[in-house]
Amino acid sequence: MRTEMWRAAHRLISHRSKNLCDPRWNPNFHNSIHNSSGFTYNFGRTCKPFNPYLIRHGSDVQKYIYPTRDYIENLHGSTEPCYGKSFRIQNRYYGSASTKIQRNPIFSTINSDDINHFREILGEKNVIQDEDRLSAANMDWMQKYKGSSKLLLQPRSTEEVSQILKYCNSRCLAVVPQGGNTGLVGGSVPVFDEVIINIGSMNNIISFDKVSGILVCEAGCILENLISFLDDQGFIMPLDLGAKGSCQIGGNISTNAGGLRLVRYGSLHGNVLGLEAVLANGTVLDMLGTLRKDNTGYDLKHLFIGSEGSLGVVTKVSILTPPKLSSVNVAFLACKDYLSCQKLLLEAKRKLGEILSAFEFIDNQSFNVVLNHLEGARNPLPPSMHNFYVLIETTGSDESYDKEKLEAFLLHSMEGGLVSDGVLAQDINQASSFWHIREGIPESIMKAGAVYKYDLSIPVEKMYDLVEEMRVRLGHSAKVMGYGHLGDSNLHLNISTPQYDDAILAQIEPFVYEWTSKHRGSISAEHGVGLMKANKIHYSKSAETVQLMGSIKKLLDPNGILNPYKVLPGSLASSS
Amino acid sequence: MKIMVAIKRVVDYAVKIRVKSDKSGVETSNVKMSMNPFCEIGLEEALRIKESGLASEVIAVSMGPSQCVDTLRTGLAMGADRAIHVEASATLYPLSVAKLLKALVDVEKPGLLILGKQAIDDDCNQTGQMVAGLLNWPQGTFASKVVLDKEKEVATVEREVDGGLETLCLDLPAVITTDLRLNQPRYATLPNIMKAKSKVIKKFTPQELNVDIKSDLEVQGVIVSSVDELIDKLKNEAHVI
Repeated sequence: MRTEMWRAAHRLISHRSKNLCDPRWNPNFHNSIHNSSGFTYNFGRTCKPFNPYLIRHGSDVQKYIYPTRDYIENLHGSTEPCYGKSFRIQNRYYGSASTKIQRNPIFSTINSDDINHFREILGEKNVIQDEDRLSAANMDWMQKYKGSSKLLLQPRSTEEVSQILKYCNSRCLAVVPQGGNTGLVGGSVPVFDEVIINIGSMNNIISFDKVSGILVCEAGCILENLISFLDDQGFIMPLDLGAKGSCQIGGNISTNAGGLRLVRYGSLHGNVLGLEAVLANGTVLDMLGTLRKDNTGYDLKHLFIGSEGSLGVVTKVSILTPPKLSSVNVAFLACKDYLSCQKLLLEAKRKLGEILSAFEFIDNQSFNVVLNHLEGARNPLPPSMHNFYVLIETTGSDESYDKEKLEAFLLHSMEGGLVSDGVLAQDINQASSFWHIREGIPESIMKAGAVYKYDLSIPVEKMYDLVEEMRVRLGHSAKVMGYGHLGDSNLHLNISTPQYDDAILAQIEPFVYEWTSKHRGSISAEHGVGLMKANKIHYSKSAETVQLMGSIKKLLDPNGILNPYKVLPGSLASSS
Repeated sequence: MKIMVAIKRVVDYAVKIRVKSDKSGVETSNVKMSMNPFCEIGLEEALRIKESGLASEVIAVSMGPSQCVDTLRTGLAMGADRAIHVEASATLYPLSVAKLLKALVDVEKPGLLILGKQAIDDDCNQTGQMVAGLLNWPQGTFASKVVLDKEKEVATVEREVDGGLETLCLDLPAVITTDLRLNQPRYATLPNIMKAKSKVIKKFTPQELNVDIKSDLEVQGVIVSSVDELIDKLKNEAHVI
């Protein structure tokens, strides 16, 4: 049934997108053909000679961002006169014809009156047109998506966000709300010349209730700062993820980020008690409740959790935070096959029950990439080949009780053959070094070459079949890696190749999406849809559901100025 | 040859240190405690020496409250053969620890005593030197490389000094204190944790070892109100400047 549905929907999309390319429909068609004949933004090809250079010099991520950036800016320079005439999607990795998007002509372009108006609202220094600042805000963390915004706004209050949006809506200026810009699906960067609204200056903690553990703060607070603030109060954030040093809570909520502790504390839909959001027309929705129970009417806050800034800009949040428990134990284990990992998960849920706080798995291929490319990573286990590695964390209130419990569980699993080897962290340093391996996987894979990333929810028992099928399908042309949150049935499928190659991409997509859909999985478990999967949403949601999403979008943002081209398929956005 | 390694239970390196609300000291209740990292390096070195066939047994020893047993278990899980715990609830200063270590050396007669160069809680960096003095053994402190020669009964110790590296040859038995770059300690594997459960931890009290635990330090002083007053006192009362 489901498969049929997406097929029908897919036909609908392809039909619509043909219309999009119709020269009669697109007034800029002739210009765009003219301009793109000499130059395209298909970085997948133009970057090729550059990639080996990046890899050689890339001893850490920060270092090798800059040369690319300069390179792309130079390219940019040459296309300067084209602005406003032609826009191709500046998608470095997935430059295949099917993902090219045209700029929606209903959006205005920025003029000097607009700039003056924004200066009046925000003051001189929060209206940024500086090239360097803009180029950082235009590109995502993985350098995969690059927009060409000419304006970055930094509001300091909800009132300012409201005024900005009200004005943008009346002028039909598209905007992209941006937090820490650590998203992985191109949701936080402009596609064309959208105005970037960066929430980072709104970083105040408003209140914290030490009895209930309810934190109220502005959306621009960096996750790590909240974690350390709460640490002093004896509490923790219910979510933790690798990007915590840069990502902001507003962005986490807009993405509905899952992270490493979801198995214990649940998703943000449960932990966010309230929020304040600004709609496209500037209306401020105050839903900043601090109640755990509130059944009055529709719970609209959920619309803003995970909608990636397409329905409104989240400006304040209230979150339920659990108390910090003193006893944390981390074990790093080796398993001989995927079946053992599954059995181990079941055992861990039974035997560790209330203290289990993370259950992550890493396959041999991902593990080796970390050992080879991540600074400071070392194999915690005696050197010998294992197929799978599992990281188990327990959090509880009694050190000796927890440790005894975990040790008993581990020894039992070892005797039962579920675990072939393992180490138990004896101090926090060792625990962090185990986590370093797990959290360092994305970074290491980036250093290893080009990467195609998929974030999928698949029933646990089927999860690793996809990785194995991809290996057979791609043979020696690519390295297929699987890791992720086994406790939440969330697979991160990463495919690494020396260079980006459309032929490889054609082998991966739509196969991965079709496979996931066939097994009733989700094509986006926790990363969101963004730009990358906007046209793929039908693989996981029925046509009727997507249609209703479109209606909601239309209702809340009639001009479609909020984070355009993302989340929902292009066909829906332009169909009205 | 036996190797004795002294290990100390300290507030974990990664824990943010907090002062007790009554300002009487550092908060240690409900705080994660672990093995002092320098002691961990010392134990690792002893285990490597044993694994290369130059020693027959590694004994981990620790002094302090009953929870020190947890730290000793970690040492046993890393690979120490057995452990000794000297149970003492009073505050132990380096000289008392050095005396206790000397007493244990007299019981066990190891050929080598390895300590961390200092503990990360009080940063005293005194125990190794004091125990070498009490035993009248040669000492190689801040070792960044240790090579044993079993036949000549000599340990060659490289140590990091301000001007570079200094190499010392010590006749065994000797005291070695370890620096950060000596080695990278191993993790406690599950099979070793399992084995450690059946290893013996012997208990002593300071009385049994004939060591009197008391502070040999006596601090006297006054609080001065200004730098001028301080200088005046240093000149006219203490006669030091």
